[in-house]
Amino acid sequence: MKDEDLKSLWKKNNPEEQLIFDHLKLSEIMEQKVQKFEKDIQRRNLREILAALVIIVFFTYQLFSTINPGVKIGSGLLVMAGILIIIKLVMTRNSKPTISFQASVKEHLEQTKTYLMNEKKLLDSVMFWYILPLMIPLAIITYSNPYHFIIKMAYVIFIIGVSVFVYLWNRKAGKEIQVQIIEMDKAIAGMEH
Amino acid sequence: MRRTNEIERRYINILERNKDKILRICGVYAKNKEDKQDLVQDVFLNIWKSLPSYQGKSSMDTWLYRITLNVCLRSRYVKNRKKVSDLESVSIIPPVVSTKEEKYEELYDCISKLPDTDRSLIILYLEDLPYKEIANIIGITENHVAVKLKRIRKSLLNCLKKSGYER
Repeated sequence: MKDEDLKSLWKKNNPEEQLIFDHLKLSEIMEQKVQKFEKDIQRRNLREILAALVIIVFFTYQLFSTINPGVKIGSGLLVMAGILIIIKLVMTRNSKPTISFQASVKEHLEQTKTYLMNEKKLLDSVMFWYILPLMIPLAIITYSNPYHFIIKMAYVIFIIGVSVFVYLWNRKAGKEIQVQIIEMDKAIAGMEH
Repeated sequence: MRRTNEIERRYINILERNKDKILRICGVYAKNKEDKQDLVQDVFLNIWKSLPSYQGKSSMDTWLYRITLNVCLRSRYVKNRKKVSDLESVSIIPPVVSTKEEKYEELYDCISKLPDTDRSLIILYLEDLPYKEIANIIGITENHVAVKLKRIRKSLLNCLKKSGYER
């Protein structure tokens, strides 16, 4: 079996299978897709920052309007948590590695792996930059409010439940990314050996 | 930023000249027909995105193979990647009656059984590219390409023999 035969067979394609595209509209549609992708990313980024801003604005008001020391401390901590979340999100976005489809295959795999490792790091540390900074002050505020003890406990348990759920959900996503990283490692190693 | 008519013309020209090549490569990495269509659309989109920054440092072929292989390999490793979603203006028309040669099917099956990165190398080899260009596309040395291809060709030939290719 000659290599030339294999090459010509490979290049034959499926003679009946055809790839067709609209010459007139395609570039316009692609441009719309690119712009939609960019807008979706901008919107997502804005949504995350807006959510943190709402927390900052609401609890800054609470901080200066309440006389309850517990609520004051909790509100102050929540304002700081909002700022921390914005800083973390902006820093993560700015340090995201660029992934070039024009790079060599090995380079592209390495870039993608670095990107995935950053994503995993963000998910793994969610307890420290998202869950605890929000949940502890919320628990303090709840506990300091003059509600019945059982209502306070029920709310604190609810907060803990949400925290555990968010943590486990992120950990699951982190594990899935870890599997992808291992597969990419194998692929990169396979190229080197 | 709206791209110029010149870029639009170049884009269509590149796709028209290379559509068979893109279809072949995506076919090896796709899990099914829908996946193949999705990969082709993703390649088209990435060519469009990358075209304005193409500086001619590598040949157009090298550039195109890199984008196509990177899109296909990425689809294997990044599970939650954003899909292009259906583009009505790009479609693959399947044959009315399958007229594929048996040998062609066997070759495709055997290539599909190789590890993902080995597939890239053998595809480029079958595309008749010189080792230097394969090395440039993959990002390893020419010697390394030669050593790896020797091994991959051996596995491919073994698979083909087992499937009765030489009948």
